[in-house]
Order: sequence, then C-alpha cells, then structure tokens
Amino acid sequence: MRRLKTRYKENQWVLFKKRDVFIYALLCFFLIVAIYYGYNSLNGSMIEVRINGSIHYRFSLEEDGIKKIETNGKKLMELLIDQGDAKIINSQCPLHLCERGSLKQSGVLVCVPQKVIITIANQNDPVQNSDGIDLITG
Amino acid sequence: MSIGKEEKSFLSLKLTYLSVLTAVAITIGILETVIPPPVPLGGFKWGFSNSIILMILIIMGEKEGFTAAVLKVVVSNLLTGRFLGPSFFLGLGGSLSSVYMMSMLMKSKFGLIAVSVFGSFTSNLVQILLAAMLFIGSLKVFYLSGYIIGVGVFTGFLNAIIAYGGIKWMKQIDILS
Repeated sequence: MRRLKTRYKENQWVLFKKRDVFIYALLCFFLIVAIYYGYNSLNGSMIEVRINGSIHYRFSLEEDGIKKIETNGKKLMELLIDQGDAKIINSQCPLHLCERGSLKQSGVLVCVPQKVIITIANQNDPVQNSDGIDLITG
Repeated sequence: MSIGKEEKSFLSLKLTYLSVLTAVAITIGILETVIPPPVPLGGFKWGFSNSIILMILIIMGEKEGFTAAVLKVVVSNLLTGRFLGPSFFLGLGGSLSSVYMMSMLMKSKFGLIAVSVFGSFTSNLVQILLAAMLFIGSLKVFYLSGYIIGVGVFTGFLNAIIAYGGIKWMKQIDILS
C-alpha cells in the first residue's frame, strides 16, 4: 500500500525543544502587560457606552437601574446597573453573547453585531466624541 | 504538460488526505459554533479545528495548510449561515495569520506545543484586532487581552497534543510513513 510521507521529519515535530523558552518568555511578557492593562480597566465610577467608535452614553456606576441603549431611535439593548456592576440584558443581536459576564468581571462588554462597546471610565476622563453625536448622561 | 503514473497516484493520495483532514476541520469548526465561546465576543471561537490544520502543516506543508484554513472558514460559515458576517471575517483573519505564524515557527524548528500555542495566540490576537478595526471602532476591546492569552495557551496546548497524537496514530495504523 502506498503511504504519504510527512513533510517534516519525526525529530522536527517533537512536543518540546529548548528554544521554546523564547516563545514562552514572550507570552509571559504579553500576559503581564495584559493583566496590568486589564486591571487598570476596572478603575472608575462611570460607565461609557460607545456605538460605532463614538461615545453615546455615560452613566454612573453608583446609580442602580435599567438604562436603554439606542441609536437613531432603534433600541439596541438594555444595561442593568446593580451594586457597582453592570451587564447587558435584552440585546437585539442574534446570539446574545454580549449578555454573558459582567463589566466588573471582564472590564469590558462587547456586542460585535451592534458595534457597541461598554467600558468603565473615570468621571474626569475627557469625552472624545468626534462625531458630534449627543451625549446622554444619567 | 503530462505527468507520470507514479506522480499522478501520489497527487491523488495527497488530495485524498487533504480532503479528509479538511472535512474533519470543517466538522470541528461547525461543532464549535454551538459551544459557547471562551470570550464573550461574537464570532470568537475556541479554535480546536486548528489541531487539524497543524496536522496538515506537518504532513503536507504550508500551501496545503493555507488551502485547508480558507476552505474550513468558508464552508463552515456557509453551512452555519454566517458567510460574510463578523464571524466569517474574524475567522478568516485568525486562521490565515495562525497558519502563517505556525509555518514560520515550524521552519524555525520550535517544538510543537510552542508552535501551536503561539499560533492560537496569534489567531486570537488578530481576531480581536479585526473586531476592533472593522466592527467596534475602539481599541478598548483589548481589555480582553488577558483572556485571549489564557485561551490561546489552553487551546494551543490541547491542539498540539491532538495533532501529535493524530499523526502518531496515522503512523501506527500504517497510513503515513
């Protein structure tokens, strides 16, 4: 019976090699940067809602309640703020993946189909809203 | 240009292996769409089908790896009704960058686990970058990068073990030398 030969010889596809240390060191470096960056994302008392890259809403994390997120009169989702944390509910996207997890868990809530990203911000952070869209605060 | 009988039979054999392995990768890709993703981001998947792409890279090489990766993304998205949606573009970018990175590292003679882990990490990173640039419009999505690295290491490690075991098994049952 004819058999196919592997392109790489057996000693070329072993599980571990000494030089792998460089790859693992690089990943450790990225991990430290990611943890530092992620940890900083949890600081702040405001919630910032960006739709298609520009800030549309700012809410206080201390005021519990349900906030409607909409653009051009179309409801996208609701944001439930409860005891210093927030999560997306009743999203109009097909898969509802954005409803998993909370803002304090991951530092960010994302809904790709609706182009919405929700993050924590400081009250003093500058509002960079280049589109001239009305900013709603609550 | 005419090709000899021997070469024709070799090409048929190679095509058969590539077709079967690509079909397995597509099946895993479709199954992954019903498993909740590790990161709460639409279009993002675990990436276990990468283990089959890694096998194709080891058995056949770079060209076949790219072919299988493109076919996997196109067919699995067509069959799940997500063709040309966010999932398609994130998957295509992630798969192609991962194959490129894995083939570069294979050529540089790194171990299989390091190749696979860095391939998964690259795929996840490119998916987040594409999500930020094409759909979200904000780099703040990189707050999820801690998850990306964690998931990359986990799936990359498992993929390497699956690919290694798969090729050993194919040799054992005498369909690969």
